[in-house]
Amino acid sequence: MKKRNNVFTLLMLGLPTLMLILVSFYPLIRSLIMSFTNYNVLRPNQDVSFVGVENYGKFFDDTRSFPSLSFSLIYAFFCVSFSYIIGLGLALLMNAPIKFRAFFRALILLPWAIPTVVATANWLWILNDQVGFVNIVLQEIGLIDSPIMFIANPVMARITCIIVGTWKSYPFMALSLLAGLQSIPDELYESARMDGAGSFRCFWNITLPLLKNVSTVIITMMFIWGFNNFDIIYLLTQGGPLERTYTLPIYTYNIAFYRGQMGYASAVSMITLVILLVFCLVYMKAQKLED
Amino acid sequence: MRKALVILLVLLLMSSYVFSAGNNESSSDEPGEITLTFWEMNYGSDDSYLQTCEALISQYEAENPGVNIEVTLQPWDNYYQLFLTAVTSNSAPDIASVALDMPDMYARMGEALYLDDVINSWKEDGSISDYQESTIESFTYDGHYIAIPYMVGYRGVFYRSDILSSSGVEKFPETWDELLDACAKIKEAHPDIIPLVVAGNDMGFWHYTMNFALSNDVGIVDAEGKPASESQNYIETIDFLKTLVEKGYVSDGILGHTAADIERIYYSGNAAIMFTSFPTSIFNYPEILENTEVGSSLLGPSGTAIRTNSFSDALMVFSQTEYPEEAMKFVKWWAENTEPLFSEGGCWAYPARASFFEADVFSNKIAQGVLNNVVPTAVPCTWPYEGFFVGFSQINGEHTMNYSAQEAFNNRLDTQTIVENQSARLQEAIDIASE
Repeated sequence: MKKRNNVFTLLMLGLPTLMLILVSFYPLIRSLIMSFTNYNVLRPNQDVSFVGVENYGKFFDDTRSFPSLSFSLIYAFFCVSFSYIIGLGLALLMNAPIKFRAFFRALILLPWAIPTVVATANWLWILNDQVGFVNIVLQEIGLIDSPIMFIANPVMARITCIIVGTWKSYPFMALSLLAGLQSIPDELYESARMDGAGSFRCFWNITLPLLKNVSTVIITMMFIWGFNNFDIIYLLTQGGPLERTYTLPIYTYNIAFYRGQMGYASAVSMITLVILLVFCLVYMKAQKLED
Repeated sequence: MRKALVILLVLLLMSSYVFSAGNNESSSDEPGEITLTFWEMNYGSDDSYLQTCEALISQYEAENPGVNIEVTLQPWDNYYQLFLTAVTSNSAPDIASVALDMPDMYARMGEALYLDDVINSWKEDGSISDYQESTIESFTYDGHYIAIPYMVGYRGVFYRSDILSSSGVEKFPETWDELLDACAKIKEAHPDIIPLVVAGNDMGFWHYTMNFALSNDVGIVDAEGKPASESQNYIETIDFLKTLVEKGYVSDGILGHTAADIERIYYSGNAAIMFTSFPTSIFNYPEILENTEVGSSLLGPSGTAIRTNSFSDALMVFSQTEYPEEAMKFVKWWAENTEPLFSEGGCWAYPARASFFEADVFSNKIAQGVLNNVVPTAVPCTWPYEGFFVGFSQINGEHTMNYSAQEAFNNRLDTQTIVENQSARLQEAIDIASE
């Protein structure tokens, strides 16, 4: 019976592992190999040859790569920072004994549940300079004289992407932090209060330190998701205006599909992967040192 | 153990089903029967389009026993990736309707079947005259015909005749100077109305701004396929676009506007002239429609003729097909017999065949306006280059020409810098495609 169970366990572990290798590791390895070749999908008859690190060198000479990398970092950093602050605030509120708590929890989840295509289309409408709700209201109450060019102005377009990205990602942050908050024993707060600690002190000395683990995980995950984000930015601006909202994923997509340069696109993807790994390692190392 | 084996078997069966899903070959063919896969792009706005396609296919199958046509209506979202993935993984359809730059791209990859026999047969019986010659010739590669013009998208303007006339503009301008005068009069008479709207945040923004360039005798590249952005004629075009911004004849938020945005502005009565691809949505606004007329492009100071950008989608046969003769026969039949797609299927595009315009559906004022004012001035978007120059598909896909148009409307850089940057971007695309 035990032997049978062992076989069954191995089988159940083996199949998902095999699937994982097929759908996750195989493309990764294939992409790594391709990044050292001149493979161009638009030239099926061309001999694919090994070009060493030429594609990696090209990245450093490319005039679009660093602006794209820089906006990817800016986007990820601000989206994570803002959604953490908003998410933590909402998690604290939802953890408090308030009326209609379940209703508010469902309400907060809404941005996460709305499909990105629908959400971005609505945002574009809301932020429109002629018929958009935001501009009309701000002008009606006299806060602005002329409409804010949320998408037309290159700087505002970047800010708009960050706003929409934050709006889309804070519910996940809030829910994860709420789960973290609920795992903190009430006894800790009770003893702290008996020792004369106020709300802020409780938050600073109990809540935040005990949320550190969950925060590390979600900040890392959200940073990776933000850095790799394609859909929100592409649907809002398609990388424009004037390529000011190009991110590495959008640029990689263009290189791969419109230029057909799969070798170079793979190299850019590998560079993206390395950058993300470095960030994760630095962040985790810093957390460990603090502990 | 037996349970585990059963589970394993089920998983294997499921995976074999999943991995065989992309296989084109139909296993249900009777001996002597063949099945051709046909990917039709979705040119309809409701179910009637697919129903009309299916009715036409039933007719073809009845006329050609033993040939089954499997039609799939493909969405426009990600069509480029859809085709590229299918072709590179040897899963291309036999026949497809495709966007304008794809026949050339796939011909360069060796994936397009030459359609010389089809075109030559039309030349012999004279029916080739149903097509615009420049459009037919634009689908050539290496001296062979690679696709058949199918649906055409024209670019021009909708304008409000009532606003123009109440502003003292008696007839629609024909030159750039006349346009500037008209915009000044509109602005003076109707300060709340935007004289001119165009979708600056649209991937096809350049389709409209190139109308000005083409009518000033300059295209994306010259007749030899070299970037033409640094020519004096293109410099004049950029300067003209900047003038529109400087004089406040376009809205400040132009670079944020999509086609849907400017349609909303125009349909709400807040714009006098709209650069457009003539959407049928205007029929939902009868009071706007009543005062709307269709205009073509406007002649530039160095232009010798008015030209409007046109984008002809095409029918092509992929060389991966196992049945080239049957596929060519079908594609010829389809090109000749698809008038019901317009008259019954609610097709929103315009036909490449002039005779299809005789259908009742084209008797409305918008279609007649397009037919009479725009079609005669239409040239392929690659004019003056014949066919598609190397790198066009990248330039089209990455919207490279949007750069100079957006910079002109952004009005922060001087014209010389804009045209130099534009030229460098075009050259880069051409170099990459020529590697």
